[in-house]
Amino acid sequence: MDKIVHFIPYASFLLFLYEVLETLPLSTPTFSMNVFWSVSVLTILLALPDLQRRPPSTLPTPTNGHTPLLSPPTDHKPIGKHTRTHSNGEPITDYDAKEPLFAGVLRQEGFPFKAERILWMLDRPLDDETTSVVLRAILRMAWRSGDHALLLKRCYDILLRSFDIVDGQPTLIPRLRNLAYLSARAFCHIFIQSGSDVQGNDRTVASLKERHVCLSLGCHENDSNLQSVLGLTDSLLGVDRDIEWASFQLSSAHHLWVSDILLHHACNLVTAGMQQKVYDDIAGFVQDTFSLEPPAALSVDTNCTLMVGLLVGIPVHPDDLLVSGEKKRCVDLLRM
Amino acid sequence: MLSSPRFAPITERLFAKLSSTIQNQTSTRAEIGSVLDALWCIGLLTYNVVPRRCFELFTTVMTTASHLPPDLKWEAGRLAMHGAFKWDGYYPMVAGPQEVLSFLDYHFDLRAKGENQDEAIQYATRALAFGATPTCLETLAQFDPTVPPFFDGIRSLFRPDKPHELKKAALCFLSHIEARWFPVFSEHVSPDAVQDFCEDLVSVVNEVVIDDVEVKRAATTILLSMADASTFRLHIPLHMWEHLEFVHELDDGSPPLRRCRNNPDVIPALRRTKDQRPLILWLAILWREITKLDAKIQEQVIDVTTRAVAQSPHVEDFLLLLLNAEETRLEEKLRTFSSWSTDEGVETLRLKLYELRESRTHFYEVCEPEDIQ
Repeated sequence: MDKIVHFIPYASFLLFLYEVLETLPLSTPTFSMNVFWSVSVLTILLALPDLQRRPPSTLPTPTNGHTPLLSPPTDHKPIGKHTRTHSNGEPITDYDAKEPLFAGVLRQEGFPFKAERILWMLDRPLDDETTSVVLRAILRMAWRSGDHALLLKRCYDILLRSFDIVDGQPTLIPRLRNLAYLSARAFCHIFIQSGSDVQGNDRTVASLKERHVCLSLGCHENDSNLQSVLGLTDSLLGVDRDIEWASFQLSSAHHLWVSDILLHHACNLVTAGMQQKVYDDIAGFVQDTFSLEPPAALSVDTNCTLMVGLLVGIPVHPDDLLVSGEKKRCVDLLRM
Repeated sequence: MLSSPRFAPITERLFAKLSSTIQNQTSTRAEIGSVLDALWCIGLLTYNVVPRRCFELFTTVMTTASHLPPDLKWEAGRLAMHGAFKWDGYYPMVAGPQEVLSFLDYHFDLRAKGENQDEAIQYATRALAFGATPTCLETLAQFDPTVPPFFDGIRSLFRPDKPHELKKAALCFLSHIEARWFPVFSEHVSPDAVQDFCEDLVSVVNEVVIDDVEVKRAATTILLSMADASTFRLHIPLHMWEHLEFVHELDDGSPPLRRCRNNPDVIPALRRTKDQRPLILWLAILWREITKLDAKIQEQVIDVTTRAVAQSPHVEDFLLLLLNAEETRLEEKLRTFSSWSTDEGVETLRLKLYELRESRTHFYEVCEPEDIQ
């Protein structure tokens, strides 16, 4: 009952929004639906933490062996433990912090259920724009080790959906380019950050590898960002094909993301005792980055130097790599 | 070349680790292999801290890594040299040439065995050509480049098939060791080989001399060395003599310039050239300090000048123009100091200016005796 009462204001807001959009004279149906779904996703994400703050006794118990989609797993930690406070003791809300919603809410250490939430959203019949919003949310989150096989599978399905595959030959559907790019990035992001790149294959990952077709073989010559992320996906799923970093012209943001994710990969390899594999996996990217004229952004060079450091045994803790955009911390680590 | 205070600590830490792994006698082959992998990557970085640290690492490899297997040691040396001397415009300072010469010695040996070691040789040559400190140049002057495998190795650097950058570095390197190269070169090879080397050298000068002042200075030094050595003088083509116009780029104490000024065979050789311009340029160079020349050379200068002026009155104007230009250059240089300065350098400049004016008066006496009277 509490749960229903708790959702009343959110549901009312969504209903109101839907009606407003319907009545707006200038809005097209597609535009209305896009706005509606985007706001819905954000509203649900806002609503869930409040819901989880309810005392466990007030939550509905699972019925028929199925866990309701919105119910939390039973081993969650109390959220209050991680609540930040002002100097006067009042809790800092995410509005106070003025951070992006996902980064602010979900990047908190130990925050539970994010995978379940994202999965729940991706299981809805979302249009492409809304799916993109969810995928972008994935990229703003840190995925610590854990079982994210289902989420990986969802991302992979979205990726495959963006291609026409005839006789094992993938052809990108042009209007789904962004979806392909974001889903491939989200896939690599979760795969590497959760450590699946160095863990033994679980069943889901093994089945993905089994049905994977080399996506970077498709013709994307003028789209270096897409081609590079598809190359990474291929390589994570066992395709033995070198990524031609030197032939790409990556955008700054994408270059930084690749350097972040490869640094994480190198760190995973070292942690798993697979040091000898580090050079093979990062050398091409690092050498290409260091040879760029004009030079790459300082953050990218820093990431690459940290990778080189890992090669010779200068350790970096994987948790420190989650502090995206704050490479100064990594620099400080090396100063020690 | 970039510099970043934020970036420096990472590279410093990284190089400290590389250096300690190389020096550690218990490092395994795999660990050294990782160092080589890391060097291969980090050597490409464009931050100015990298070349300096790479050269320090090179010195470490050459001096303290005798415990390493030879293949790893030389590979480490090559990669460190690559990181240190790959960029134009920023060269780490080389205080002593010994390690670089040992490196060059080894790679000239490999070249003699038929291996292409152009890249490694290029970096080592660049180190000696562009990175050498005055102390290093003094030590280098004692080095005998005619011993094997250096003699053949250095000659090979000027072959037409060598990379442009290697030729440029080789030209500058040769200008540092010219005193022990040109005078004795013909003792080691046949006259045909001298001619071949001359042709290679001249074509390298033509190819690279447009690059920058340092290369022009090197080309002029080499021209003067060739002019001083009788076996080479014969092979200097007319167009190469025109590099005499860059003599003012050389230090006054430049050894080949000093030797040439006192060599009585230079003027006759220049008189035999088809064009008078190199001779006039050389006369202008000598007229700057005619009172300091040997009596025999002074006689030659006066004789040749009188004849040249008699043939064409423009020669007198041209020589005067050059002497006046030299006076202006010295005056401008002097103007950068206080008029009251008693600094040794300033005193030297004043003396030079005085001598130049004296020389010009002497020039008037020679060319226009009736006007003076």
